[in-house]
Order: sequence, then C-alpha cells, then structure tokens
Amino acid sequence: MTDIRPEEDDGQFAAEYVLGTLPDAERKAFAARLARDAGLAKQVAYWESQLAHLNEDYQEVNPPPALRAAVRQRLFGAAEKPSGLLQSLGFWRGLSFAALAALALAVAVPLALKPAPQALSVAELALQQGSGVQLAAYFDAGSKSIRYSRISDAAPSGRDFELWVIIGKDAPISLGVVPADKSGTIKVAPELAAKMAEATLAITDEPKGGSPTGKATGSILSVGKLTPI
Amino acid sequence: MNDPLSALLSQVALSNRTAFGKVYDLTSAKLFGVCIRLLRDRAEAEDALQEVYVKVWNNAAKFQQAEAHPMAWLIAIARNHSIDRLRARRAPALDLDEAYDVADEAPGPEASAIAGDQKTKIDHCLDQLSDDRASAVRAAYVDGYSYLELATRFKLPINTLRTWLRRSLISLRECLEA
Repeated sequence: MTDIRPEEDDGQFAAEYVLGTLPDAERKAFAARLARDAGLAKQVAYWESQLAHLNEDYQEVNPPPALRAAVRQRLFGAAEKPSGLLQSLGFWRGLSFAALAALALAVAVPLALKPAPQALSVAELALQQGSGVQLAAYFDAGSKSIRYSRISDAAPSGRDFELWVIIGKDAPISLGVVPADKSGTIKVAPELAAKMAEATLAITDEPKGGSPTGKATGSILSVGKLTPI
Repeated sequence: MNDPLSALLSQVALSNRTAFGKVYDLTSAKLFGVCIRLLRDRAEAEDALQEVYVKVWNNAAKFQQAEAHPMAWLIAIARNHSIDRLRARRAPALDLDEAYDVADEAPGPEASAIAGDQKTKIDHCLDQLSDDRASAVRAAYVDGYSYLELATRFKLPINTLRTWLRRSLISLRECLEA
C-alpha cells in the first residue's frame, strides 16, 4: 500500500493492529513479530491503554448458560465436575423429585442470571420410564439451535437417542439423533424454529442412526414442554 | 471491581479453577458483548468466547507483566481474537447495510459519551479530529470494520482511506502526548 520506512512503520502498524484494521496477512505477520519483540509490545500496550475508553461502547450480553460448563470442560476435561450445571440440576431435582419417579431431565439454566436478549426456552423433560437418559437442554431462538449437555451415559451400543419436537397436535418432527458427544448443538430449521418457543420435546430410544421410518418407533424416554424464560 | 479482578487473575495464573470461575462470572457478559458486536454472529461469538476464556486461562501469568487494567486486558484478548476471526473470513460475506443495522442496536458513541459523562483524554483528542475521522476510528475499533468496509462507508478508494486513517492516528497520538 503506502511506502513508509520500517522504523516509522512500527508505530503505525501497532496503532492499526490495535484498531483492528490490518488486513489478514499483515495482521498475522505483525502478531508473529509482536510475540518476540518487546518494543513492539510496548507500542501495542500504549494504544490499547489509550483506546481502552472506547470499550464503554460494548454492551453486556449474557452468554448462554451452558457456555460456562463448556469452557471448563474444554480446559479441565472429563475430570472436571460441571459445577454450574450440577447446581442447576440440583435445583430442578429438588423441584421435580417429589413428583416424578426416577431421573428427571433437567435444564442447565442458572436462574439467577438475567435472560439474554435473545429468546430462550427451556424444557424440563420428565422421564416416562426408569431408563437412564439425562440431558440438560435449552432452545436459543437467536441461533435457532438446541444446546444440550448429556449428564448420563450415551445410548447403549447399537441404539441411539432421537430427539423430536411436537407442535400442537401435529405429528412429531425429528430433530435427529442426539450426538454421542457429551455436549453440543442441534440445529433447528428456520421454519420450525419460529414455532419452537412453546413446543414439546421428546426423546425416544431408536436403532442406530435413528428411526428408519421417520416416525418414532422406540419407547419414549422423556417428554417435556419448552417454556420461554 | 478493579482490585478483586486483578487478585482473581493472579489466582488464575496459579491454576486456581475456582478463581477462574469467578473471573468468568464477573466478565463473561462484557466479553460476550465484545464478541457479538465484532463478529455480528451469535453462534460464532459463542465459539469465540470459549476460545477467549481458554486464552485467559493459559495467559493469566502474562497479566501481571502487562501492567494493564484487568478489564482492559481481558477485553483486548476478546477483541484480538474476534478481529483475528473477522480478518480471516474470506470475503466480507455480510451485507453492509445489515451490518450497520446490527451495530446500530447498541448506543452509538454520542450516547455512550453522554452516559459516561466524563471527558477523557481520548474523547478530547477524538474531538480534535474531524467528525468523519473520529467516527472512522471508533467504527474500526468498536465494530471491527475493515479498510474495505470503511472505504465503502466513507466512499473513498481503499488506499486513500488507509492513508487518511493513518494520518488520523498520527494526529491522535500527537494530541494524546501533548
């Protein structure tokens, strides 16, 4: 672009780096130099502190509650007890154990948190039988997806858990097999997402790969209604 | 909030997981706000936020050397990571009008200046720039606009825009150091 002598360039590049405008290749090259050049780091620190006041323009937005557990899981692995999640499971258990039989499907939403601006719905799914699927899930209208964390074991070998959404009196629509991962996201088609706020969720026990017919074939493991929060 | 956060980050540097949880609880809404505003995509902002906190955990020891305000240090990590992602996107896939609509949801610089009600040196020095230049600096910093986006917005050739913005930064520095 412009021809500027290297020594003049450093100050300029530091400012542009902090501002964020450097194109990708220049940004990467600068970041690589920054890692081993204390002088450059000082220039960057200068601009970061000078421009920090502009940070007031960033409004707070509460992240989805499950992100906290996801970060800890990522850093601390399986050994880590997802404490935030368990706390809220405890909350839901306290609420539902008296009324429900064995395991309750619970929802990982610390209620103390303010709801995010995007609409969230949560479902407390009560087990129909004493089977062991235990999943924390919520629907985020913003990203049109259901986020889940599985607390209990995965589906037994050769079987899959399939997630269904039931809207009004319509036949259940499959959202697919709940992935074997401990936590993840299940995308919801936009036309379906628009009706999700108060839909009912259900999980059935299906052969590997999900129901072969497109209709639920196995026993219903849990059912619950989404409620906006 | 300043001091407790510094103390917590020192604990995080010692691999204290409880302290890390507290740092997350105190700061995640602000950092998520940074990621969403820059990335303009909620799902990507969720991914970015996770990576930001992984960096916070891994780099907490560097906080003490940085001699920075703890919140500013954390926001710098979130901004840098989000901007890395923005710049790495192949092309500006988004519709510019749409981007401005998203950005407009948050109070603009005028509103937050009123809200802050305190003139800092940077505000004073931005005031010394022409309106266009000041708003280009803010849009680049706060919204992560690339030179291409700024050039479109200010209807200037991209090289001209870059030179123009660089001169603005030189003026800004002269004022800040005056």
